[in-house]
Amino acid sequence: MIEIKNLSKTYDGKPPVLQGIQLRIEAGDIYGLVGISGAGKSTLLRCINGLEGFDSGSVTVDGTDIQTLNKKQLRLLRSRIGMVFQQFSLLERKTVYENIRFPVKCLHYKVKDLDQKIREVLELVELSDKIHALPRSLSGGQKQRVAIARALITNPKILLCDEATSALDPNITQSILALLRKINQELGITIVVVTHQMSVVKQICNRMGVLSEGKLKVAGDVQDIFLNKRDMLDDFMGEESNGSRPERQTHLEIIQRVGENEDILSDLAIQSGVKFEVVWGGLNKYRDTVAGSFTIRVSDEDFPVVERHLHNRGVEWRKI
Amino acid sequence: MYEYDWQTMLMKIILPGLRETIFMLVGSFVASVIFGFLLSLVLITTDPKGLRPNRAIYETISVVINVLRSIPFVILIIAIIPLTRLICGTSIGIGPAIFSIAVAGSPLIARLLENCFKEINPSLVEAAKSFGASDWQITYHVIVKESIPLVVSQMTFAVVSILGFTAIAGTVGSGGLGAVALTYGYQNFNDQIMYSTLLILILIVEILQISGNVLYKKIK
Repeated sequence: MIEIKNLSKTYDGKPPVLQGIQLRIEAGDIYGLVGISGAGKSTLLRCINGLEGFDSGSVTVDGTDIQTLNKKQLRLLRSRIGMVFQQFSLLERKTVYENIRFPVKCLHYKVKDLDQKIREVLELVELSDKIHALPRSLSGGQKQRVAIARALITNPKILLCDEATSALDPNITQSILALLRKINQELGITIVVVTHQMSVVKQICNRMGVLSEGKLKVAGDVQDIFLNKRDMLDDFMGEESNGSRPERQTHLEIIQRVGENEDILSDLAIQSGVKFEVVWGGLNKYRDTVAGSFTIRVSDEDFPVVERHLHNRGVEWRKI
Repeated sequence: MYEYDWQTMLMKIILPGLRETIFMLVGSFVASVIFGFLLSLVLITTDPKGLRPNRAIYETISVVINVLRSIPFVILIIAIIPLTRLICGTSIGIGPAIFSIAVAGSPLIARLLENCFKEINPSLVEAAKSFGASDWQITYHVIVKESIPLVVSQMTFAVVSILGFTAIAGTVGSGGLGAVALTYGYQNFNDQIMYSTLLILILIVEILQISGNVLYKKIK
């Protein structure tokens, strides 16, 4: 659906914003682009619909190389790619209805039953009762729903979300994420999400790419990256880091998938006879699957024993 | 000092002056808004962060506006007399006054409107671009229409400034209440006329300001 090849972008005299990005987003994906602010993720997102240009490489959307398009063709392409922003970006002096109609009006589309269509998308985002309200009377979550409805009115194949939930409360974030998921499943729209919130990626994305200083550090399956390539995420996992570590001790993270090795910890205690301490642990939800993760602390002398035991049991683990 | 009775003063001196002032005010304000609006559109579009950045055009207009804005109006109106004569045929009367005031009023309004338009959140413009709006559609539907309440309050400010210009124009032969206050009130020491004119000007400003505020509240 979206193919980015060797994309680079530099502003004069500054370090490159994006460097040699290779990325493939398949139809039906919910793709997460993560990174700390300034990593280039929003810029990369804007390269997909041509809001930002780039110096070298190529972006192909739905089989069309966007660099070959003239200004008018680019406008048409954009109408097939919806976009949602952190600050909602609604026209404050227009009603919800007029805001949603605006993209259609701009394109001079003759849409049959436009009125009906607007009511349908409003129903999809569950805001039918606010059809004639002004944006300033809506809450943040409701505004974002209107913005999503506006992005859907032109029947896009792709929806780009730029920090769409970053300005919202946690529980409102949940409902917006659920809505995005629904759009992805029911309408089959490919979604690209730019975020710095790991929880967003965990909840709705099936694949992700991690950007750091303009480079793509890693890309792939979300669960795989969270469980096996955790070190790639350390830059922005501050919220979940393990605090200070005493010397002469080793920290291990043990990964437990549902249905396998369910008694790792008790077996470790009984069979290896080693003393250890559970420093952190919990279940994490990755979209629809759950995986447990425990961080334990053992003394350096005991570490080889533990290592052998985990290896024999075929447990997934890593030293941290 | 020559004493006038109330009726003569009102009917022969003040009311004709008021009429001239209103003509000058309306004429020059409308002209200034038209030219100022066009200039502000060019400025906002060619701005380095605008839809079609063009440094040469932006800087040229910007410098001209700064020059005109930095000359006190009482000096500017005299300095441009040759130009006024060239265009209006004379430098005396309401027509030439409207022209002169518009020369000072257009850059004032252009800057005020430019600042209004700059207040628009860039993410609104980006959103409009993202669903395929053309530059013209963005300028009209997003930048101009979304700024309207701010534009109204800034134009209220501008019309009061322009009322001040009409009084200054009175010193160089435009007529109007400024000329009345100057010739009768100041040069003829007639306090009655001086303070009546003052009162009327205060009233005009109040009416303009209150109408502006009401309009602002209504459309916000």
